[in-house]
Amino acid sequence: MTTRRPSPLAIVLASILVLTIVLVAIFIPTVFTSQNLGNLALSSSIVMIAAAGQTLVLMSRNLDLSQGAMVMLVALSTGLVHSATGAPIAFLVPFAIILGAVLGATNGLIVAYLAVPSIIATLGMAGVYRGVGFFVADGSQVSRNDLPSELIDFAKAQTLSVPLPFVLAVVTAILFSFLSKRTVPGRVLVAVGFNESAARLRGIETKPVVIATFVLSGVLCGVAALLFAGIFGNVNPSDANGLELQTIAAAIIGGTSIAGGRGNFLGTALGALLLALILNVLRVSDIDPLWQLAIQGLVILFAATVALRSTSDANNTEQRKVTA
Amino acid sequence: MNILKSIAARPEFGALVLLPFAFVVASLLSPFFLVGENIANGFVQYTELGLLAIGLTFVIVSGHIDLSVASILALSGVALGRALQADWPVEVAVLVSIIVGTACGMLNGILVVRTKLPSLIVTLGTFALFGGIAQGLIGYASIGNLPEAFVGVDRILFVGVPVPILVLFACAIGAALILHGTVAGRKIVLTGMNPKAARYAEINTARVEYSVFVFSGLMAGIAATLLVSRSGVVVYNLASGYELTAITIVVVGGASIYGGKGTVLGTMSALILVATLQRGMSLAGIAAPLQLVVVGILLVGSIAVQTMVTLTTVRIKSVAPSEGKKSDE
Repeated sequence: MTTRRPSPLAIVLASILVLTIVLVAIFIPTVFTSQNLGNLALSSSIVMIAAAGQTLVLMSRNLDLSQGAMVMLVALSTGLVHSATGAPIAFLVPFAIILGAVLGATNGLIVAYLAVPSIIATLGMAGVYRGVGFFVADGSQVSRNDLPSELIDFAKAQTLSVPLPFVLAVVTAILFSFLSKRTVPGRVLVAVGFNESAARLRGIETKPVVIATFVLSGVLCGVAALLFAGIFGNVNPSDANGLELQTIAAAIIGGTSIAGGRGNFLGTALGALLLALILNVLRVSDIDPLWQLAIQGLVILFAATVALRSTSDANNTEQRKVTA
Repeated sequence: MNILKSIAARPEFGALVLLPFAFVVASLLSPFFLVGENIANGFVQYTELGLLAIGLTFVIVSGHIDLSVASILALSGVALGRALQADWPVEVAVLVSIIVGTACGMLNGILVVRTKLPSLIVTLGTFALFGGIAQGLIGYASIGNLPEAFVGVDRILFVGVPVPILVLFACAIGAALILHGTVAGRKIVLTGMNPKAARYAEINTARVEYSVFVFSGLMAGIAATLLVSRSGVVVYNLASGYELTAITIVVVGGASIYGGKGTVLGTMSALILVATLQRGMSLAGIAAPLQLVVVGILLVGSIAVQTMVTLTTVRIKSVAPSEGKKSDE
């Protein structure tokens, strides 16, 4: 199995992004006010961080449909714990990350040891997490006063006029890109995603690898949840619904293959940025916001098709061989 | 023994076994559950979900997934509402709804076959696209005041049964005959089992895949008509979240998410199972969030048991356990 480096895709994606930015700059210059760019960076950071987790899970040839529910449940629980006990931020950050890890580990154990297909397992657990969220919220919601002020401040903080959450998201993407390419666990993950039984024959324990990807997805959702709470300032049990669809879209646009084995973390980050940019353009321009969802759908379809065309998909060439 | 074993291996076995338990639990939870009127009123609410699940059964058996069914339902419903608002005759408006549903299904099918993208991605996109068009067309307003002649199909009884339930059962029987009794049905199953082998067997898998998505769209169009008539109002997020419950029903009904296995009987049994559980819990005053948890656990639990059973039988038959991974996506 020879795999080309995903560089052609990166070029295509980067040029689409640059082209979009240039066109936007010419036709809708209001997008490039510093305040709006800040909003754009903030709104993309939540998706970017969760999408890094989704990319990991996709690489192991699985899918995490519970991300939205996990972000909501962690953000909600963090707010509830803070308002009930007044726990300091030094406790809340590890709490959120550990809670995310526990939720992710639950998903991973069900997928790896009960052999439930991940799409089913995470779909079911999304319902469970959301139900628990409604249950613990008990009809109320977490509002700004319930949240630690440090979270709100962090969401507003900037370095060199770049929002800190965005910096965190970019660092996360670069970190995972490095880990997946240059470290042994990263290469093991690629091997397992490409061909699970072959990896097992080589003596790789595949189950811990699968569980690890889900745990990391949960952890990253925990981080995203802290940003979510800080940026929006309130949390409802129905929040972050459909976030998983955005993270999958970002990953696919970025050239991560749903067939496993190929993940591109920088591409995922660019994909999340592209989605956020398009939504932002719609918000700033005169287009009725009601059409946002439809245009988002068109973008997903278009971008996924372009991404598939510009990566030489092994399965795809194989299909052509059959029909020829 | 062999007969017993082959019965237990049927896809619908799990749902059918759980069903009597669900009935007992539901009637213990609430003495009102078994009141005839409650059963009829309660189950009418599940007809649309049932129609979506029947369409999805075909898609899932063919080895694909359709996340856009609820969005198709919403778009068909919005088209229907707009047509009725424009004083079009009821028959024409119903036809519009069904045509819109079918057209959405055709678009899904064309995209899946032409772009060769996984259907999960395609229908993720069209989920947003169709739902977004519905939203763009009517916004946050709702269309009410629908003509008398159209509203309230669930109150019309035919031999004592509400019409939507009859429509559901007619569609289920038709679908069962197609899937289990015709060459076309065998082609769907074979395509889902092994698309490459199906192509070698001269099956036009592209056409099969296209057809199942069209069928799913058609079912969503019919469901839209029933739902709008029953509720008497059209909003853009009509039936939002139905796709997840519909997938749950199909999978609890024994269909394999990897394709090649699944029956309409299983889907219908799982529909009644989920409906019984939810109705029982509602009548007993159990809050909706807890119901969400129960349905989630039901989904994961029933699949875990099914996969365990399959894996053990496979292990007995051959040394190397094969995990049902689809290689041809």
